[in-house]
Amino acid sequence: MNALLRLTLIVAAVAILAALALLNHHLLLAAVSGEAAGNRAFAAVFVARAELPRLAMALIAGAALGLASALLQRVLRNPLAEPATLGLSAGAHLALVVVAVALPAAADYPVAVAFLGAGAAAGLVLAATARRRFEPLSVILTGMMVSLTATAAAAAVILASGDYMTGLFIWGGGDLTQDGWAPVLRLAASFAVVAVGAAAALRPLALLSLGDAEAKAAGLSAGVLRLMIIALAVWLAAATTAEIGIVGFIGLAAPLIARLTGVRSSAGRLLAAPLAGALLLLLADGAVQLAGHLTGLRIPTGAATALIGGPLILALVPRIATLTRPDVLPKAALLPRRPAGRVLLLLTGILAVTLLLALTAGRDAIGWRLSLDAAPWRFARVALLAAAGGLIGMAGAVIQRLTANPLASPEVLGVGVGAGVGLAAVLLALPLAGVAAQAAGMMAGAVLTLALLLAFVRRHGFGAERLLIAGIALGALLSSVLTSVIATGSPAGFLLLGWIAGAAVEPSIEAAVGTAAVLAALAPLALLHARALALLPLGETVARSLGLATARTRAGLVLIAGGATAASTLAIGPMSFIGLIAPHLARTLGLQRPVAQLVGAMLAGAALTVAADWLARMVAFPYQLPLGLFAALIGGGYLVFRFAGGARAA
Amino acid sequence: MDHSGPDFLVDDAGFSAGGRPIVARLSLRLAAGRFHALVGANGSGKSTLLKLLARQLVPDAGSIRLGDSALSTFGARAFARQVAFMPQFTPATDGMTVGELVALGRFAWHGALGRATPEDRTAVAEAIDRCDLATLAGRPVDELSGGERQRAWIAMMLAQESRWLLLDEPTSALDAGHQADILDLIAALVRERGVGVVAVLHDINMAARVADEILALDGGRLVFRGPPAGVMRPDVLRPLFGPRIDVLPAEGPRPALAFLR
Repeated sequence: MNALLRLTLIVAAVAILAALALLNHHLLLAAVSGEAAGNRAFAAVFVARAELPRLAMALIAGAALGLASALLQRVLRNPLAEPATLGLSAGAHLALVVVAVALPAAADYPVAVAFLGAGAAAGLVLAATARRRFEPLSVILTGMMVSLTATAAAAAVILASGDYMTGLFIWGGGDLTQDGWAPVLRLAASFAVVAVGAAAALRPLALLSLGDAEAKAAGLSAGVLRLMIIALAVWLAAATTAEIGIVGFIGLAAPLIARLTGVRSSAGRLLAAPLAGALLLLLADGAVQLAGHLTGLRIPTGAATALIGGPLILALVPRIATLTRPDVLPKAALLPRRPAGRVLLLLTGILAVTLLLALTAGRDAIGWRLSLDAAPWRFARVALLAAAGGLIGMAGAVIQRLTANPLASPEVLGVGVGAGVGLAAVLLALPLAGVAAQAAGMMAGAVLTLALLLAFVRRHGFGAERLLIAGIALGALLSSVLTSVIATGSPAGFLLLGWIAGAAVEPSIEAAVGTAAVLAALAPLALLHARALALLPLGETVARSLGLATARTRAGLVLIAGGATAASTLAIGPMSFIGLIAPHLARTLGLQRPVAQLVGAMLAGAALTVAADWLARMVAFPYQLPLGLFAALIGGGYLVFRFAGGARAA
Repeated sequence: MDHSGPDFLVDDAGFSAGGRPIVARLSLRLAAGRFHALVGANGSGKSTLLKLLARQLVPDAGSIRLGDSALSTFGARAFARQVAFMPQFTPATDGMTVGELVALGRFAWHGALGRATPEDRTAVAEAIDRCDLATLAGRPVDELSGGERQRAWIAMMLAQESRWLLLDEPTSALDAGHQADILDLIAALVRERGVGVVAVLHDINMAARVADEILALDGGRLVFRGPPAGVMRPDVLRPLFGPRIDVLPAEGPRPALAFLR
């Protein structure tokens, strides 16, 4: 980019920002002061206590996100790292929601609470990917899982505490509305502290970018430095989330823009990223305010930035040289091998016991009891859950082998969120739509999303990396649409909140039979691909050299996994974690070959789903908690357990 | 197996990346049943040429044929029955055992759904035997040493029973003794089965020891082609590897040796 063009772009950007701010200012004045001259004073107060702080907040928060992301990208050597993609924002948000509901006294220290949440998310993501040496794609995949789960859990907590708390979710969507200067000043203080820390670490950071071994050779403890920088970035991300909620993608775009403007030096980029972030968020917030004035709709700024960010990731992919680094991947943990027959028998036994328990065991006014009386009523529900769980477990096994990435879940195809957007469209267009229309909407949403994804990766031969990135970007885009709808606070939004939390199980014998039929149709298709599923984890080059028509095979497998995910999501809502865990569990138990793993993942998925639902019904009896919350708890627990195991092995 | 596999015919094929030619308009014929060693400095286009032959890359000019047919006309499995390719970095094997990995070599023959025939089983057993892996067959590949793992991948290529083996630095990770073992094994296959081999080799002495023919590349062009004796001369090697390289002529049982002064 030459200097003249760069200058023109900067002038244009500033001009647009100024025009937006002026336009919004006039529209705002017109709205609050009305005709009467006596309202002048009120308008002046409004400008001083709401409009100006909001402008300042957009600048400071944008700068904070830009700096946090620049630091994270530097230490993790990952061009896609930022608070939203790493799950930091969602973790902070969940912590704040939990505290607001359960421990209002602690809500006076929002930044500390958010830091705990974001820190826990960062710890989970880093621990789960340590063994893969923080390989960029794996970090992003785990971050996405943590994000989805934290969002589901937050939705569940909000739901459980009554509809007056939906405001919490709106704020979670990234809302910059201000009513004073205190939040701006608090965030500015955090920003200043982190900026000073980053400046002090400038030189060691440059060393770190060479690689750990080199840094160590130069006399630097890479581990300690990395941890300190990550802690600074997490603090900044948490502080931002505490003040304005989740604003995604500013962090992704800012360092990229800094790089594209031609800033070369390491210090220059760390300076340019916050600047770019500030201008970008100001622009996005200005656009959102303008849209608000013109249409009367209150769109969370975070939803708008995600709408920009999804396409941005897609555009970024070709520029990123190595997201996966197969040559630096350490040896995979050695998994046990056991006779498939015995392990599958054991899993079948566990599933049978779980089913029996779910059908017969329960609580009533008196206490716990085992009885067959309720079994006929529960049958449809349990059958539906088992079939859907089997589907999502199978989809997970297919996706993990297809992408050669054990951290991928069916959710990376974006079909779950796509189904949600389909549901949202139906709910908004026909508020009185019945279950059948809702199901049709979800089906259409899932199919369209899958078609879109396939269309995008088709040009690239359905390569694993593109598939994952495109899926993540599509998912992020669609979730932002969902968040916007929920943030309208309409009845449709409330229904969607329940759907996200996984509380939308509508058991009917027809639904159970339908889901089981899909499982019966797709499972043999997946099993017929067993040999391809053994070849694909070896990567494109080897699979092709052995004679596999990789593009065609991948396309077929994506359709199978996408169909299974869609059917499962229709039945029981998004259950991403079960799709991640079930295939793992099968392998941990000793099922290494594709057929055994597929069957094992189906059995484990069914058992996990039924067990999670039973727990959700029993724990807070007579209240029924959202299924998604329990799936998330089991999933989070599993990640922690995996971390413990990984730490021992390392 | 008969000794009349198809020849590779490279017809004016070129490949560029980012506007820079990596392989520049090359025409050559590679005869079946011979061991061809590709040598040259880093960035000379050896690996790219190998990938073009393996159909992992498509030439953006000219064409490559195998026998009478252009490479693009082969189906995925039909091509794998003709040509096996081993990349420089073999991927992690995802918990597979040696036996399972070698058996994957038969995919080109039985396909996704076909039953594994007695021939498939024989080919796998022979390949394992040939590479001295019988005692390791049940062990996970990731657990093996570098040399053993390399042998497992070679065994997988053998089980594939293709007419051509294309190898990208098959011995880069190995010590001298293991390098010689692997290359001798491949040379023996050429003699016994009439398999054609194209191997990118870094060590010119090793290449001269095992190859029937040496092809030297420089800047994407073929600068020398001939028997090992022809390449082991200072005037041939110096343009390729710099002025400090020299050759100790063969003497009695000791072959000619290239060395750095």
